[in-house]
Amino acid sequence: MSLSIGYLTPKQLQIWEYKRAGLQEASIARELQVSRQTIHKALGIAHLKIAESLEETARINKIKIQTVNPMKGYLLGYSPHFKTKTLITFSTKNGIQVWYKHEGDCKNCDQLQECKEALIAEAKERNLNVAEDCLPSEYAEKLFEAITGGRE
Amino acid sequence: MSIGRNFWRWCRIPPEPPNNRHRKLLVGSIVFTILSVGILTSLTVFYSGLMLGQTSTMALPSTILSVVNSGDGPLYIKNATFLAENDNSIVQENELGMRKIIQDEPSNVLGFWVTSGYRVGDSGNINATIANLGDKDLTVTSIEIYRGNYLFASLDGPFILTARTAGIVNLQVYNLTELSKVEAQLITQSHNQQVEDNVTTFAGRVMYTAIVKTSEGITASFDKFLFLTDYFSCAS
Repeated sequence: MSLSIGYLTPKQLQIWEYKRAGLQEASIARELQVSRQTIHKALGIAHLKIAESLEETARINKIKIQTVNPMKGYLLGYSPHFKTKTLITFSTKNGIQVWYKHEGDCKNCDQLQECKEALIAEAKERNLNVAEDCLPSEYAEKLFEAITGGRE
Repeated sequence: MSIGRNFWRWCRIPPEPPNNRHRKLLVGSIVFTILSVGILTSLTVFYSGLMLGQTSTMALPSTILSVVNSGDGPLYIKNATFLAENDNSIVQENELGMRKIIQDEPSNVLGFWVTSGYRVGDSGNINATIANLGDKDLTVTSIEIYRGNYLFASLDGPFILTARTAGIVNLQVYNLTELSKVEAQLITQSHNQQVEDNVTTFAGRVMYTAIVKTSEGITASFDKFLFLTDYFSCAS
């Protein structure tokens, strides 16, 4: 268990993912053949751990926390150092990721493909449809708006 | 937001740090000057008092949590702020934050999320206590919240907790800074909304000891009772 995967065990991660996908606890319990109480408890622990991971990442990066949502797996904050909004996301595929809002230049960035793949994975995990033919920065804008409900 | 031709977008690579070294130096100089004058003045007053044989007390800097509800609902604690208090207890910034009090599962009985840290197996809630009574409703007569050894807030009931029914508890706390004027309200309501509608964001934790008492004779004590907040800010 490490910070990058929210200190979650594989089972907790699986349950959290099911829940985020919209399954009710009873359905998850049936799927995994355990009691609903077990699922409820595991989810509680998963949310605590994810919140802690997001907050820890914020502290490490000296980000001032504004909003944390462990159910959806994101933390919205502000970086006094870079003087810009910051978003920390948590997903099964990408783990913890830190995003900064600024005047990006995707076309001349050597991480374009890697960035795009990360964003597509984020979107797929969250059942969000975003056109894959745009630049990562444009993609991220739509994706994060959907994830945070426009809070960002 | 846009600057020139490019738009501000989300990016994994952080921006160039702003060049504010000169401003920092200027601010640092001003702060140093103010502190120096303040310390000199304080010492002068202090030693003058001693020379004159007076008993002198110096206010010790410290902090207290003030939780103020913005009043515009939906019933979450907002805008936590540090203010000064004079009992010399320091509340570390990283200990302040919020945890939710609401139960986010409509199918469950009321539950308070409590934890003694983020270790597996340390979480617990009042569900177990209620479950032992079967389907019987509970009447909470009071919830006492302690900070250290003193009563920080008392939420007087009765609040009906219906076992095995939908339950969401929202807590409104006004002006906890003024301990003599604590006004707190605990509201229970049923809800039929999806869990996602009730998801509330928070920005950390405020931890207190809490004791929940019911008219059925149940006393549930939690080492760490955590308030939820939507927005959170700290100012020293």
